[in-house]
Amino acid sequence: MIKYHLRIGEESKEVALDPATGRAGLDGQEHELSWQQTGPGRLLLNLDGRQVRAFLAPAAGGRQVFIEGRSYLVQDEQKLPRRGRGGAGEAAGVVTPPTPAVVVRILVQEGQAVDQGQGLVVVSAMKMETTLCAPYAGIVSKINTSLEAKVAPGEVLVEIVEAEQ
Amino acid sequence: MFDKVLIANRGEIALRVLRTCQEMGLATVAVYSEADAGAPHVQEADQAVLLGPAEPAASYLNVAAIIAAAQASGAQAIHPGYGFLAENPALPEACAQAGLVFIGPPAAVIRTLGSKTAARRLMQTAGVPVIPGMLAPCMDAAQLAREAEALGYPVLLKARGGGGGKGMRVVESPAELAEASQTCASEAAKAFGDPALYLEKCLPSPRHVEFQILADGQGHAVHLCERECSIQRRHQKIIEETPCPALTTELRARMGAAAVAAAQAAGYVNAGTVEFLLDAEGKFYFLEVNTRLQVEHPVTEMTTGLDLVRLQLMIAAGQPLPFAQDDISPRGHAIECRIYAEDPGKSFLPSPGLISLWQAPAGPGLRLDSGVREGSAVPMEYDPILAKLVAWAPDREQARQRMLRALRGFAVLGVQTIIPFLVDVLAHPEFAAGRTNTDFIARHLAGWQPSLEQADLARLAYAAAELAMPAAAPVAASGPAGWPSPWQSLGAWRM
Repeated sequence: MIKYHLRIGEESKEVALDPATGRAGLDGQEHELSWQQTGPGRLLLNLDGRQVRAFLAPAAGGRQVFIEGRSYLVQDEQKLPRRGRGGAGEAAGVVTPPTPAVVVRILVQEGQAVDQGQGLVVVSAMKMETTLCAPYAGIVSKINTSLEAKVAPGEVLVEIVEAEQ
Repeated sequence: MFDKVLIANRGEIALRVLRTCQEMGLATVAVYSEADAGAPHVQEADQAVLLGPAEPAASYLNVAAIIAAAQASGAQAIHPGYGFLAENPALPEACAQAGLVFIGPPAAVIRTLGSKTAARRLMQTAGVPVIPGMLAPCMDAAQLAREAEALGYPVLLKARGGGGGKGMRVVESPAELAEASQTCASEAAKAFGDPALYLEKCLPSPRHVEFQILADGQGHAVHLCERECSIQRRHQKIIEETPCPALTTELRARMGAAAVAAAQAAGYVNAGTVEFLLDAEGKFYFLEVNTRLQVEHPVTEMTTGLDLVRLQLMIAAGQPLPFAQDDISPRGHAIECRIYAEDPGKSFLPSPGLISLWQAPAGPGLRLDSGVREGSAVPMEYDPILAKLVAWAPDREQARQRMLRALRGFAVLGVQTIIPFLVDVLAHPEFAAGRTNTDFIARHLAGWQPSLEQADLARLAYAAAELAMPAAAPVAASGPAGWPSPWQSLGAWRM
């Protein structure tokens, strides 16, 4: 039996699978599972006699899985870093774009005091502008970007030293 | 008639136009930006010309580069598609100067109808009902406040140069007006280079119903019936259908006649769309004219059997409309879903990236207008539309079921798409009942999160994939229980 701890959204469940027999356990239930790869990223599953087409692609910390109109990010708890589980690497309290984007406006300067929720940088992706806001009140210590820069999730665009409470 | 057409656009609409040109025996010239080298619209044309860097201003919005590409390739006509330069009078003006045919209405018509307040004045003169509100823009806060008071809150603040939901705000009370007008004016200045605003009465929960019109250069104009486009996010449509479940034959005839009157009042030539809001009592009001081919034109093509791009090309070549109003008799029901690369669980945030898997549905009554394929890049510089899926059937319920079946089999991976959200709209009892209004999503699907219906199956699929296609070695092993992979079972055959 191979055991996986698989997370979708906030919920993690154990899946046990015997590669030799195809016996699978999930939520205390036993299933008969067999599968066949029908193309790149394409699996034809047979679960307890019912056929299901599944589509899979590598994604942050796991695989994106599409089944019958639903799409999930499935992550293996064992492959995720200890902290930051449960999301695709979104760290709270960091000023970073949600998608690859271009910086269209910078609303603050280094040394400036900002309130929680104050707009810092406006980025644009696919005709839609998004304002990145201060996660907490403080002083802007560093601006790591410039106008028209191409930026990606994870890049910290503005650093803020948190104000003391 | 011209024999070579340049298509000044990208993605699905460039391919859509290209296909009709090919069917008519016209040579095609694609243009592209550095981000689109190798894109399907580039490869399927007879010729392709690089315009410049990815930024739209340097490529698809660059009038001089597009005219130069037409001249260098020997194209005699330019089709603008939708978006980019399609409603910018600068392109038809530059075409006229260069002796090229612009496939769309005259520059002066685009300019007049592009000013929302000028269009409202024109329609009122032509006897087309307009939404109660201002007929001229105003930059004075005190006067805006008086006008809003006279109309009665809630009011809708709109940009004279507006469109696409930008520079537009619902104002619920006098206290919000000042700040809303500042935000709106600055958004409008950025988006349209024109900060002028005006006010309209905000109709409660209307339907968005538009009429396709066609007008030739000989003064004939017809309408091709309506499209119901009420399912919107960010004031932008995601599902369209025809016919509209709310129209009676009598109302359709009156709205159609108003749409034709609107076209004729504007001196319209070529294909266009007259948009109306329809209230619960069956009263309709002019909203605006879109002076181009609409994204959602395929639903009209499915029910009328006509090819709107072919008709656009014929009209641009000076030919008369080959039919009259009485010859138009739509058949059945068509629904279109826009396949956007957006994350519906995160407020429809755009999702650029690489399409690592693309498994499109097929079958009777389906049409897929797509600009991408497996392996395509989805650049962050452009609109996130990937494709449009259209289902036709003899009636609305069958079309709805057909669309649901198709969406459930439409696997797109590598980017997020709105497919899971579309499934939930189509499956919603209010949608099934035809009760679609512009506040449908806010009312029924606010704060939408993906259903966990298939989550356990997805976990089992993941576990199977770990064995069948481990990340490091993507080539298949097969599962247990006598399911050999075709690669193993075909080993002894010569093919």
